[in-house]
Amino acid sequence: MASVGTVACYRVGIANLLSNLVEASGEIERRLDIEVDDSAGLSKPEAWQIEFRNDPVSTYRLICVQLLRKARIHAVACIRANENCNVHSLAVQMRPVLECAGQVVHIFHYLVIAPDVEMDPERSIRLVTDYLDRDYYDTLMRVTKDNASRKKLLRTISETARAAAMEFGVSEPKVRKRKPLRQIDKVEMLPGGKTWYRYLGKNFRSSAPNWAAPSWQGGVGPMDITHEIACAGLMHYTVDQMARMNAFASLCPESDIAISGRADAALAELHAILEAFSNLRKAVQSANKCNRASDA
Amino acid sequence: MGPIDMLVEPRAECETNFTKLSELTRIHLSIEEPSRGIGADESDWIHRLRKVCLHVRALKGWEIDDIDVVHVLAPEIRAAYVQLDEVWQSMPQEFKLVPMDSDYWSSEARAGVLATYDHPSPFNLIIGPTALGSFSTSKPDETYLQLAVWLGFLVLGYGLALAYLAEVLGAEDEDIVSRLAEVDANGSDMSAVTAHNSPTPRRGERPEDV
Repeated sequence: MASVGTVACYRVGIANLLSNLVEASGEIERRLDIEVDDSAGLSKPEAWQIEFRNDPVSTYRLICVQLLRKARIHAVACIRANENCNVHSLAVQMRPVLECAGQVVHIFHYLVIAPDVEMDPERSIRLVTDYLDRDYYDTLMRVTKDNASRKKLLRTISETARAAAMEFGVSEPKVRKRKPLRQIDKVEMLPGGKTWYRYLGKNFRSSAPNWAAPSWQGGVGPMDITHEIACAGLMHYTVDQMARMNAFASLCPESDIAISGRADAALAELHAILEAFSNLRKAVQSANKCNRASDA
Repeated sequence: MGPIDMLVEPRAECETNFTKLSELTRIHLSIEEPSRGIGADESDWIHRLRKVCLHVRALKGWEIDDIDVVHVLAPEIRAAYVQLDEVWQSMPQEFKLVPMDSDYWSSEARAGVLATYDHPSPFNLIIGPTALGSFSTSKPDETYLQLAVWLGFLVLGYGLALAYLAEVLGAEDEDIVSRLAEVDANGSDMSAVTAHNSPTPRRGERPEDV
């Protein structure tokens, strides 16, 4: 088993990586440069609908900025939970990070990477607009506490979708039944996203966990090295997905200008992070071997 | 009362509740040693209270001046509420000083506003009101007020559960009783319940008074 010192070293290293990623996501947000506070009147749907009609790309900039900001806040909380070796706090804070990351990846994958490469551009863009329509519907129903007219809301969504289709020169979308957006759908695009989401739900949100289990299974026993290992594991996945989120957020168009060449730059950034990750893992493994050798 | 006064009060209330929660975690650790193992035949709610303690400890040290902090605090409060729901149901009536709705913890955690901070989505972040998990800054006073209420209930639920824990684990010595009483805003309720002198809620006391 890994020694306390080795795991502690790994946790420090991985916290530094997450810290760098938080900084990088702040940098992307600044580059996207969009006013997000309420003084712009963005909390009023009719105001931002007009704004976005003039500059459709700003919709995606705004979405990207909001998701990055939210993920960053929770990532900072993850760093603090890791510092305090508080696995339970880390588990609840990493979940919104994963949801933000999954949504950024979904939107910019289908908007930028998938068209022409994986699928017909029309189908790809539809996967993004469908997702946003579902979210729009769910959010308005929640904000109005289910008092909004479902019929009217669906009609508005259809009309907006038709107008957008005309603007982008694609065929009119079919009117279909509303499919609810489940929380787990948000992490679908992350590698292992659904498995991790279920794991977090089962062990840290479940109403009847095994309290005597190790902390990575939601246990609340006395502090020992399993807490450190659990923190390292949760941080590991968080760092990986935060790096992925930043890479896909880098694909967000800054303005109407072409986005060619952005994919390469974003993928290079992702590879750099994954390489740093792998180096850290190798360093820990070699430190571990040295420890074992000296113990022997 | 001007808009600034309106803001300062709930914010000050949040600070006060942070201090109380911090003291409650210290009391918890003196009732139940952190190194104590999990007994196979021990009641489930004792362990749930440990989890509450972990989430309350995670609230410590955040600067309340930046309203964005509510995004970090909400998931911790929510996780603590989920456990308090079960703890509350396990507590005898004489420890429930205030006649509050027994569904409060679960309804707030599962379907209330707290949940929206846990599940970000593009439109929720953009068009949702501040008090529904967005970043909108037009009404921070409402958000502070909401936060003060959440923290206030957390102090109440956690404090009363600790009084019960002290009795169950046989740790209801004078020091614990007086420390719990100190945390309590009125200074007498918790000591009264711990000493079994006040089996029923005080006349005229309503949950919103706490």
